[in-house]
Amino acid sequence: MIKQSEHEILGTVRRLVAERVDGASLDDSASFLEKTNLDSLGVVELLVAIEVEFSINIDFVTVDPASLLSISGLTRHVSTLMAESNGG
Amino acid sequence: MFVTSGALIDLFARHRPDDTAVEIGEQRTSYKQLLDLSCAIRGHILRSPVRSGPIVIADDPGAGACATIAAAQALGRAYVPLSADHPATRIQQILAAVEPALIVQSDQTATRLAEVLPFRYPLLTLSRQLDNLSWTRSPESVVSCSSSIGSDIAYVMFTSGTTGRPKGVPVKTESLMAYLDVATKRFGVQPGDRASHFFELTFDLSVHDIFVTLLGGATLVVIPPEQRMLPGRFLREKEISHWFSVPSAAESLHRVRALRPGIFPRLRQTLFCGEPLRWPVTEAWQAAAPNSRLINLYGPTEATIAISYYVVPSSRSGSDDIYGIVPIGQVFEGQHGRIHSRPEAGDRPNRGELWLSGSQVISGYLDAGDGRDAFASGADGVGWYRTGDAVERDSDGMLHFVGRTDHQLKISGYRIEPAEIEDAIHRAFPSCRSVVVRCDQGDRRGLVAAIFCDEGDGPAASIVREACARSLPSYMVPAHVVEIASWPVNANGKIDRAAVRRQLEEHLAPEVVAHHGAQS
Repeated sequence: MIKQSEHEILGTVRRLVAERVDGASLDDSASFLEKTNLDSLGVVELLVAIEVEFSINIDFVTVDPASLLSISGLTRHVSTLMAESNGG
Repeated sequence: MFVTSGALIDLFARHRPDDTAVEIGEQRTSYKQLLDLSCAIRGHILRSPVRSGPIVIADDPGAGACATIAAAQALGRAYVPLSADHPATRIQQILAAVEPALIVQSDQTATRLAEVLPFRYPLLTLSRQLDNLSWTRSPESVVSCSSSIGSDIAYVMFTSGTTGRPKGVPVKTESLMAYLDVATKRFGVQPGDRASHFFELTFDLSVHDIFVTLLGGATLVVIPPEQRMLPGRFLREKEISHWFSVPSAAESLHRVRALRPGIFPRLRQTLFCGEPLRWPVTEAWQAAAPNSRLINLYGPTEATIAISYYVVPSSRSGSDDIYGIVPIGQVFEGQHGRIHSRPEAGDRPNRGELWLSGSQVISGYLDAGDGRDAFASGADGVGWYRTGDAVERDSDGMLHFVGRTDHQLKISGYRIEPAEIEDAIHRAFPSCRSVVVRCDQGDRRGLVAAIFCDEGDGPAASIVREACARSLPSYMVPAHVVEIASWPVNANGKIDRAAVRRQLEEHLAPEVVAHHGAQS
């Protein structure tokens, strides 16, 4: 797997979010459910797209969904998973 | 179980006092504490010159709301839930329609409501820690109007209306008791059980969460709003034994492959209601929760929470699966359903609109002018509620939901009349007309507003969404707004909603939608 810096991951997450969210740019810490047109099904589709883009598997049974509801939360989670798969 | 009026508060005293009644995060409220709290709320109201009429509950789900509902029931007053997250105009419309005797809020919702609630209602505030209850506006300091809601009403829920404003559904105590009689017998809980509180108070399925759980002496475990989307972790960590949600929650878990075999071993009962339940997600849920029985419930708010049920077998037979979705089964004992088929329109006799009657069914809306067409009188003089749901009866006598007879949409179980959104858009942009549909495929999923403007360029999508958010709850704000170049009518001059939806789903550009409109 190609190593990506956290900054690169952040850029990709921002792009995937921007493709799905209309209107002004979104604060990295803003909740998708509160500040965007995404409803819960829209957020789920975004999460699936994130998994595909980074070739990762998020374990949705153990992860706290609240931690995946913002650009910064998603970036942290993706970075951790990528670091684990690279270092492991 | 024999259920009487005032039963909740009486039963709190009969349950084991130290058992947890309501759990929200780390906060646990015992039955003893819930009883004391209900009595304190009741006492506050009784000691003050509060006129008759309903109690508005402007609180999030939790022990405070449960105690207030129990107090309202013991006082013989209807309760009306109000979401602090809804826009000010909607909250004020609802208050004007109900004219409550008082409003109960928590200090958590108080900040959101401070500039929204009119001054003419007494306002009681309960701290989120449940240790302080006091008048923010005392009944002595206000002059209020009288309410038309009688003491025979248990609660009033507001649902989307075709007239451009929410429609009040008053449910009688008698109807609630009829429902609880069946629900506690068939889907009841016991002390030691842990039941989910998934639904917001403004969604009538929350009435089931609260009453069935607390009548049974079990623990009501409130799910935090941000966990509703993917509730797998909540289900496991909180050791839920009785789950009740809309099928969307299971669909989301299924979509992210989280419904792995055996992951919910503690689950013993699952209820789904509010939307069509698809077979694939049902079977994945059965595998994920091998020790749980699974029941599909059906019922409009007008028929009190749910009025038909289907116990899903461990393996499906051919007749179970007509359109890939689980049957809604049979109408509760004591209630009545009939299929109103129109052979002249090509209906087969086992297929048509579902009409309901019985003690669970309301006789009219809060505003008598709303939905007159929704109620019909049979040849025998019996009053029927026309659900607008098209159903089919299979050879085993089980009912299957097959669609709507009108344009009503559902998003996560919420009923949405597109007319209400189209009206909000038209009010904000008088030179624009719109068609609101629900897309299930493609990039634009969810509610999509296709907008046509008579003159000039249409408003930007974000401006349209902002305008909608000023008068509509968030679940009614279109996720996507697409401008179209001509009004999509068919040969009869009617809006062709199905065609609009199909074209939006097929990734076609707005011009193509417009082209279709011009063509037909």
